[in-house]
Amino acid sequence: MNCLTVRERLAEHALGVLSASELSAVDRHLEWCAACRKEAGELQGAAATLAFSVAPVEPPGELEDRVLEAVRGVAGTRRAAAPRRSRVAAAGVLAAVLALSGLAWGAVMAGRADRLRDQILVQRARQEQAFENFQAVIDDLEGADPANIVEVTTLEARRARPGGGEALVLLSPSSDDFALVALTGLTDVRERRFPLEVRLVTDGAGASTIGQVSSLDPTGSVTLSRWFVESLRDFDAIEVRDARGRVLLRGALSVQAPTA
Amino acid sequence: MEGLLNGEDDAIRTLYARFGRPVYSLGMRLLGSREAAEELTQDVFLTAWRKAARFDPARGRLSTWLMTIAHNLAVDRLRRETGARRPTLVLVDEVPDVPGVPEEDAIEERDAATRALESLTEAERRLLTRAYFRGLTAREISEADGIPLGTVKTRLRTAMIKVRRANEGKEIP
Repeated sequence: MNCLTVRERLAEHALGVLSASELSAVDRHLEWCAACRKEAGELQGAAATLAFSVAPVEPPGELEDRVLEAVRGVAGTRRAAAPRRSRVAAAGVLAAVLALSGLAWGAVMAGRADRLRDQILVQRARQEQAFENFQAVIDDLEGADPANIVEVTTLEARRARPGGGEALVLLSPSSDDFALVALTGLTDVRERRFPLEVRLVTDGAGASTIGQVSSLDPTGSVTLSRWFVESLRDFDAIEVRDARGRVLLRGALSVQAPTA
Repeated sequence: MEGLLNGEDDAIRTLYARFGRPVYSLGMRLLGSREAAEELTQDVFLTAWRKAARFDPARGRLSTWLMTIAHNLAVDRLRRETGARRPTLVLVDEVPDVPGVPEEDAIEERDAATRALESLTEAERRLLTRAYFRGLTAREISEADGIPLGTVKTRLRTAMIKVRRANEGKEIP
């Protein structure tokens, strides 16, 4: 995209209504074009003004304490956290990993874990490497870092195309970070669109590949995972692109708050 | 921001005092239930903590940054829950001021929002509302209304430029 075509799309960019593929192309342009980035920033400010235009509603008084507790919880686990919260966080990671591995049914991610678990159970015979990775996590859990954080997302296709997925990112300040993605229902991807690239992305800057997919099973499913030496903390989303760079699926990562 | 990153109570409370009500209001008006609005508010502040290290005041205002997070999370949820009933959207200039409601939070931003709404024609206002608050793409609006895609895109651009110009020279902290 050149500056002209990007600027034609900046209003929609600010409003958050670009298609995933256009969003990706515009963001790539904004990474290096300062003039368009300035324009985009101004329109983003205008869009944020609209967010203040809804009629105010008084939040319940106790919400502030719950927000404080939630942020303090996840932030605290990255520092030397209070013992109770540490146990909760570690238990959360344990439950998630066990659920994902299919070895036990953790409830930490509720429906998310169930969907991932089902997909992974089907895939497991062909996913020896992934299973070994899970096993390594499980083996390591005796000394699991309470500061570990789990981020999750649901990958979705825009405009009602088939396919979707679930993803989990484990952020660990003391060991390698880990990303796992389970895709399913990608039944309309033509052969020439392969390989698909599954990657972590940030707002307008940078990406890191989790893996490439050369083929899918008849249900359009695949599960892949990767350990990362570098921190994954700065990534915002996971997306799946085809060989032409078209974004098929995308999901924004959000912190899975520790659950008591 | 460093305080938020470290999970310091004062920093979180300060941020909440300023933006808690606008974020919650956005959740209530878009998602329609107290439970969903509370979840949204919690998710917004958790996401803000996660991204705090990357907030750059030189590249944008705090209010823009935080409300963009809130809007993205709310609209993502709207798109996921396509079958759910949605409340009628009520904007700030459609309700009378409520005496006794504390006004220290984000009053400048609400004034800016009112100026922005006043700058739009009724048609522009409806168009922006459908795009921004309902997450409808230009193509979806074009198909629903039976008007050319290019026309919708042009109208969206025109309306957004008006919103931007409505507050030029009125810096918001």
